[in-house]
Amino acid sequence: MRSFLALSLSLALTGVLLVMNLALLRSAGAPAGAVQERQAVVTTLRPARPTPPSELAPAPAAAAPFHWRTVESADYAVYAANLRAIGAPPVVVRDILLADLEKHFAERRAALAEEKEDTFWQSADERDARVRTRALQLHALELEKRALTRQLLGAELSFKALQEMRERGFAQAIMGILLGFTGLPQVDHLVTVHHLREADVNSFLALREGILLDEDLAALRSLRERFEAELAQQIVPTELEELRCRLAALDNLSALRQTNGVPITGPELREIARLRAETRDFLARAIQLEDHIYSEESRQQGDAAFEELLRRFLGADRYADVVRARDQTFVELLQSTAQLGVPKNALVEAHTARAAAARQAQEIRADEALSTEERALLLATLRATTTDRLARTLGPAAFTAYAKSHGQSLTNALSLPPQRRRPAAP
Amino acid sequence: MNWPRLILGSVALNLALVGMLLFQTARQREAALPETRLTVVTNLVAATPPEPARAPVVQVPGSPPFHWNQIESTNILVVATNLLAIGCPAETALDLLGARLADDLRARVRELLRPFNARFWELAASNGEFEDLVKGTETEQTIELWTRQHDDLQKSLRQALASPAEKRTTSPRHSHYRHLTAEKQTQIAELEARHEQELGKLRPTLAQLSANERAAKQKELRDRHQTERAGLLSAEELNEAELRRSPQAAKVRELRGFSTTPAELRSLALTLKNFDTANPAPPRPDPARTEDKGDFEAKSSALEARRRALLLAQLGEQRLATFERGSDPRFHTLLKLARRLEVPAATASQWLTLQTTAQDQAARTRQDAQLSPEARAVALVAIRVATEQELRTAVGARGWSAYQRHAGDWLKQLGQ
Repeated sequence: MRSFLALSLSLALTGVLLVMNLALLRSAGAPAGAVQERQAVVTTLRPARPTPPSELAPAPAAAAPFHWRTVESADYAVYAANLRAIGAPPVVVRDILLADLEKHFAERRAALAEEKEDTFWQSADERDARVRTRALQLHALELEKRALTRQLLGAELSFKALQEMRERGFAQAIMGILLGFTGLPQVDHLVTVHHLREADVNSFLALREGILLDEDLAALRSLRERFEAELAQQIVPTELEELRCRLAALDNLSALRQTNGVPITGPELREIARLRAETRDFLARAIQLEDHIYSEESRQQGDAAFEELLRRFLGADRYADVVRARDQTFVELLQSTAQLGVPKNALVEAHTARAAAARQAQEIRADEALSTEERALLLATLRATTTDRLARTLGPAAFTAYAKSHGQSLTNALSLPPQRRRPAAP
Repeated sequence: MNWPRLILGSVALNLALVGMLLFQTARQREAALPETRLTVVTNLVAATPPEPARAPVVQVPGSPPFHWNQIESTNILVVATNLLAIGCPAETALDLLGARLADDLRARVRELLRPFNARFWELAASNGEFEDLVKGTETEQTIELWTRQHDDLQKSLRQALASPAEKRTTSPRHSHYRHLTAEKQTQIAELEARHEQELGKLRPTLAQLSANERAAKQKELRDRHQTERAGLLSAEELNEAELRRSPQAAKVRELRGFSTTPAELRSLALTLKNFDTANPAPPRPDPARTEDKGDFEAKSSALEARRRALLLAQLGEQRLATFERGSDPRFHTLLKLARRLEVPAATASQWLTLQTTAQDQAARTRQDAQLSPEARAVALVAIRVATEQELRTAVGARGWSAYQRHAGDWLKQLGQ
């Protein structure tokens, strides 16, 4: 009985296994599964660095077109950043942005100046108030422009200074000679600083209607110091001294030259210019500050000190040459007879006679005891004697040359003032 | 029956079936696995350190990104064309390339002048006129040549950029014509610009004429311009323009510290203009004929008295005084000082009164024939000292130096 039960169970198991095997055999004939796509993403992290322009490969012909509008922006900071991002050199960024800023602010200035109403019959007080308000607005606008320029270009720059340096022709040539002692970037700096600080002075005065209190003078003196400190940022001390000397020579020493009868060498003139620059503040003068921060008395003291230094440096004879060279009548005598070999002592004598005659004529004209006719007679006599004296001193050829160029001014100096024509009777 | 053999055979069959089952299952699992394709994508992520104050994030378009070098060239006209090709506005291109041209010229001229720089002081001592150092030399010719070339290039640049040579705007509308409509103001501005051009063209011709011919020609032109101007305006508009251009309008418009309305100011200008038209000033005497001077002064004083009487009738005593003070330049300066010191405008009036009183007193002292020269000098110094003290108190310590600098010159002369 037990054997029968075991055989039955085993046969039942065989049946189950047969069914399972058959089912598997049937499923093995079914089609294989569809191909699955799988994607894996690998992420690499590295710090971004600007690529130097030289490493950039040229754009292939089929590259996506670039358009300027992707660079331009209403926001100047974005515009500047975009220009730099496409590799525009600093000078390009400067020239584009400075010109743009200048136009933008010029429009805003013009809008401030525009008067929409008819204010012609407004009182002067109201007009003054309007002018003061506008001056404040203009000042604020200028400060805004400078701040923006600094933010965008990293330095205080002046479009007007650049324009001045880009002037064509002789003005440029003369500036080139005057500032030829230093490099071109330094010249740019000098002219820019000059422009900016001079504009500061003008603005300072305009905002105060030209009336300066003591505290203003202190502020102006600081401005003067700032000007010098900023100049010195880009030039060495010897160049700064050279600048002072050249400003002195340009401004004040025009009489001291060989063609005016002053025998002087280049190094001597340089030394005289140095003496002049020590007795007068030509940097303050360059930005229109001198008259404000130095009293007339101190300026006169400076002039007197220079005259004394000049006299000592040149000696009495040559100093006398300088004094004569400052007199236009002597220069006229000298230059009109330059080619005729007139001795120096003859020129000096003629000049002395001419100057004495001019003084005498002045006295005759001022003498109220004389009638008009008497004055005319005396002056005619003086003209005749002076002409005779000059002709004898200079010689006929030189006198003719002098009379040809300056005869009329000699006659005028020794005559009554021209008579006013009376209007015709109605 | 042999039961054990049957059982053993059945177990063996079962085991074989289990083996087949396992084999088939393994085969089916392999067949059931799908085909997999693996793609590896490299994704570059730039880790940018935070920059708080930096400019905005910039994305350079193009693939590869555009670079400025792509438009650069040694030929400036090529650069201009390239700039236009990428859509750069002509105005911007001109700003950039015009500056570049000028800088190039500047650098070349500077190099050319290098020999002069080295001899600066020597040349300055011999001649001094820096213009003359270059004039008539080969250097001058070279500079002129380069300048011409620069101008030509600039012109070509403008053409390449299709930029107008010069923006000529109509001159700003003059305040004398602000009473007109905008359209008429523009017409007047255009007319005046044309008149200016005509005058400019005529000037070289005028220089060659005699004085009388010149005057006649100028008058003819003036009259024609006046007729043309009048043709644009109605009679009322013309009268108003004439009034606004008159010296009387200029005078009343400069009155300061004089409270008034636009209508009253206009009325005052008209009153004065009508008076001056009806009462012309006496002709100035010949300076050489001193005998005519007295007569002229008497006539002028009489005329002034009549003008004053007219204003008195219109303004009354007190306002006439304000009117007279309002045109005094000394008062203008004092008003500014008062503003700077933030004191009322009436204070400036007090300062002026002190000045006028002291100057009158000094004038009387100078003319006092009973005083000896020494006594006169002492009296004048005393007036000066007293006035200075009074003024210093009135102006205050903060403004006293400024008063002396800007309005105090008269004090120096007071004691003389």
